[in-house]
Amino acid sequence: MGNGSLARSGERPRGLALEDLREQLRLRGVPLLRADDLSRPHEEAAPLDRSPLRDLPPGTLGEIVGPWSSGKTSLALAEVARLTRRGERAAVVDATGCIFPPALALLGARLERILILDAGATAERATWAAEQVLRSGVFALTVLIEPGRLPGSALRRLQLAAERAGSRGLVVRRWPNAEALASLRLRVEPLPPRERPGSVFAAPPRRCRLQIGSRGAAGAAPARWAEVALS
Amino acid sequence: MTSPAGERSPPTRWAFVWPGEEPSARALAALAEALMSLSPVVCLAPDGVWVEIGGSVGLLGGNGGERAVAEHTRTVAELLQAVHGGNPFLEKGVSPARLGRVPSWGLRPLRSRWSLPPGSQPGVTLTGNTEKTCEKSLEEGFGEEPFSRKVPPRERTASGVRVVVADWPITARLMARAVEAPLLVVAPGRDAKALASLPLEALGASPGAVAYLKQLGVRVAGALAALSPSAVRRRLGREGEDLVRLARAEPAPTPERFTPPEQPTACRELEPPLPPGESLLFVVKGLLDELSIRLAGRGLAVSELRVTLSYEGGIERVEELLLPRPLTTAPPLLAVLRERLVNPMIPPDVARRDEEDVTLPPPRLTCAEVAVVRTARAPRAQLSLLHRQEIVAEQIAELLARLAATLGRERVFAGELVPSHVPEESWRRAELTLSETDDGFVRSDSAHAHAHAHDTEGEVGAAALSPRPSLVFPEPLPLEGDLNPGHEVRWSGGAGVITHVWGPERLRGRWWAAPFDRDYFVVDLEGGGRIWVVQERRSSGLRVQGVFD
Repeated sequence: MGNGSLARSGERPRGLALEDLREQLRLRGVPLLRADDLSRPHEEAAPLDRSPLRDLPPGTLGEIVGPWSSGKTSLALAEVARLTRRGERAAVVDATGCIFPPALALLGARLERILILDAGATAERATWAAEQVLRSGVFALTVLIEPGRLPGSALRRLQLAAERAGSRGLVVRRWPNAEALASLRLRVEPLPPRERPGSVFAAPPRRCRLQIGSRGAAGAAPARWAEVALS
Repeated sequence: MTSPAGERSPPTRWAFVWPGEEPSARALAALAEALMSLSPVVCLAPDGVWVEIGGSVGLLGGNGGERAVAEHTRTVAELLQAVHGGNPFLEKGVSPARLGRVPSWGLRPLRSRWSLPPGSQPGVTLTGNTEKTCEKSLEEGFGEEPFSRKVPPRERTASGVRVVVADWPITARLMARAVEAPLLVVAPGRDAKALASLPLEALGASPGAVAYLKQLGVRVAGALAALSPSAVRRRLGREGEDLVRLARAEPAPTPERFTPPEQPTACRELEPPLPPGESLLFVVKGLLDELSIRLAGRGLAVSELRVTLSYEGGIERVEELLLPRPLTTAPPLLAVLRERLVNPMIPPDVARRDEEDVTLPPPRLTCAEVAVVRTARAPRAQLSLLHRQEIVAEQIAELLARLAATLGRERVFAGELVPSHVPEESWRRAELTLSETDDGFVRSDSAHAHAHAHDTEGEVGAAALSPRPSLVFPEPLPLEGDLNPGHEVRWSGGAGVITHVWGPERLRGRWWAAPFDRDYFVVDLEGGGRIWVVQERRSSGLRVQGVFD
């Protein structure tokens, strides 16, 4: 806005005008980010030893968004495992048909307390199933894995179902939704392993970095990235 | 248990439920099935149902003592609750804990089959202080007797159902037919006295026998009981002797026990036929109510249902429903059926016909039948103060049934580890645990079970600690490229440049049957992605088995 008016004035070179603008914003304490800050790996990501999913309050919907193999599913399943170890029940609505229960067991989950719904590749069915589970209110956490592109109305239905039953829902997917409906949104990106392997057989643990956002934070400065070790 | 006269009373006590009007055999069978929740000994009469309620008292508390009395009181209360649809104790605000667990259900769905007047409400209301009544009953040594004094006469009740409790089944039945009272309890050992005032017709005597006896001045059962059976037999034959023994309330053979059908069915003919629409669910709900009550009487739950809807023109629609969990109550069953029936409401062939000729009105429903194809023992949870476990288990069972009805039963499951190295055989689909077993002690830690599963084959101990991807493809995807750092690999779901390769994790076995010989590799790609690659050593082809996501 200001940039446009300065450019039209033609009284000062564009570079100087931008410098002025930056200086004014700096004086007012507005954080400045470069355009590629959001996509470039942040080398100074702070380590995070506690999953932010633990803070997802009852009656809310969370969202984990990230590219394939970023660790987003592992993050969600780790929370599922933690809850079942505490004796609670969780549900996994799988739209990929690929969920592998032994991986859950390796995370320490009690499989007999996890309801798995193979919803097929239909986003509509997967959303319907997740809504039913959320609405029942008998599962501590309902994870919807890779439902594909969802309309805002579907997310809204899930949100309402969670609110009504006081249950917690988590949508794990590749593409973020334009509408920020989720109470907690985690953006996940993969990181290469930090440790070099001591063995040629055993792969070292993976890492990912998280950016934690929330509803109502639109327009605010993006949160800093945090680094998480994956199980 | 001793009668006031000091005689030993029989150990059994029979309640006879007389619906009031001549009910159909089917309705009586349904009533008998439902009343089995009160006693395992239920017998059918042509006009009502006998329930033996003394045996359970003896079983639970012996034939005497306070506990037996309390149990007997409770049983009579439940019987009243069942046949009248209300509980007189609860209506008066007496704590259920004082009387034991009183079921909250009534037989209202069944009552409609008896053609009772519309709007009839629970017919028994106790007057006075019910708690005092209970205490009094304990003092008097038999819990049921005070009821008979407190129950108002029939004019003050709307329901025509009568219940009579007596020592002998035939006494209970005769009194129920003759005495207009919603509840009559004949004190133990007083059956003959109770019958004494009944007219001879009430005993079921033939008109000829009645006329003959009246000529002799015998008009009531009490006078007949005073006669010698052999003397009456000489004059009236076998009927006369039987009438005397009946009037004396002498022991008679126990009626044959009722055996409920293996596959109970509830059916409703619709006259006039019902237009297609959601009103169908009201009909189905009534049938489900009836079936669930009948099964609850036997401690059973529904495992498999078949709904048959008959439409005009001979069109029939059959929906079979295999439930992943047995359900005991009608609401969850209805919720499951709603998923099936509401959409589409009209059977497919009917819908096609409608498309062909839109001028034809849609066919109407003429008959609905719900048959229980398979039953299971009703799931029982340990009783707790708030019954939360039962509630949650019921909620989960309902949810699973609805999900299975839409997604398919095989798509609703919990994973269970199997001791096998082969990834696709290392787990199977199992049922979700419904019972609460959490006591702070992890009995079956899955991680330990997984490690144990690998150890049992004893082939590759380290495999237990090997990472497994969260997503594994049912069929591995062919991978193009070499497994060397710096090389690009490509598969149908993605591509990338390899940075590191770990492995192989070699699986080999079952040489005697279906041999497998595979190498698994964990492959890191530029950008942080990680995939799981399998190589069949015989074919040397590479495939992507899964993705670490």
